[in-house]
Amino acid sequence: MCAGLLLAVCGVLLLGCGGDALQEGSPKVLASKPTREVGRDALENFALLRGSTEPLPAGLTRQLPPVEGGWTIAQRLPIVTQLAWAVPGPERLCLVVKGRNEPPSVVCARISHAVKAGMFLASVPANAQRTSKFRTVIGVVPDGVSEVRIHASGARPRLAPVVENVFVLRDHGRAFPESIELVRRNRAR
Amino acid sequence: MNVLVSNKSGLFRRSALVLAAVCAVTMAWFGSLAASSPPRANAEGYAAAFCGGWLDPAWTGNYRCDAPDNVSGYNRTYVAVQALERAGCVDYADVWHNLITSWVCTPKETQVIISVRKDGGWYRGVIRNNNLTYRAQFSGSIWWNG
Repeated sequence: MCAGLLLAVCGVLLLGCGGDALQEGSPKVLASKPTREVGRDALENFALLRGSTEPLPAGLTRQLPPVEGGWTIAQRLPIVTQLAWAVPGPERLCLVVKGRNEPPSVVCARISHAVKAGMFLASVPANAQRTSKFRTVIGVVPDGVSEVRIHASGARPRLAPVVENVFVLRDHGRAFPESIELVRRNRAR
Repeated sequence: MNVLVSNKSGLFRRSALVLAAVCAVTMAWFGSLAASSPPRANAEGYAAAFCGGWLDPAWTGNYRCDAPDNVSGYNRTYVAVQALERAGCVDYADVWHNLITSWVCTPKETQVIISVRKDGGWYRGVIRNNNLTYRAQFSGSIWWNG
């Protein structure tokens, strides 16, 4: 009986361990019930988000997972080469990017992190067929940033100007962008 | 009476030790499977974690990790990487581990999700460490329709 009891306890422990491991690996950004709230920090620090919003095209949202905040308060980014939106939520800011003939990609970060360090999504060619040969870096940064220095693994940093909280780099580079450094504009004296 | 209690207690203790050892071995075995957790159903279909753990610095050793066959297959919808400590990238590949599309990379402390082409192909998720100097912990996730 003792053995049976211990086996049962053991089984419960094992199930618990397995569940935790999976839970840990599951993205937390996915929400079953999207809300329409937007974090105050996002509005205060990104002028881009204070403008009128534009929902994502229905055809695109069908290709995306549900995200905190939903897709109805997206803000289209002024980019010509690709379609991109900033999607604020109560605690997270997401960036949706869709290249030509490519499925969309989404990156999300805590608003506090985006305010401090900005955020970006980079696409780097992987010598795969039917994909773009360009390296593309699209990002959003908080108010007051005039340009970003893009640091890529094993390559010299690249500067990209910021317009309306948004920066874009499109080139034939092969190095993987790893981080960005925010360059604040000089204040008038 | 005391001897009887003592014997029973000793037997119980020995049984507990043996079972604890069995538990430990079984849990270690489960731990080795943690990199390819069993699928779990949710509102979006099924989801599973893969490649949870350490990845070596970019271009060294095991800097890239491909999802195992048991969480790969047809009807895959999204693949994600959680890059908490260092910058990371995500992609998906065919059964022979050939990448299908461009790497999608993000800085640390973010999570990136890419949509998988709905062309009827058999795909596996792929993640990589993007930092040249440090190894770091990453976790991949993959979703599919039942």
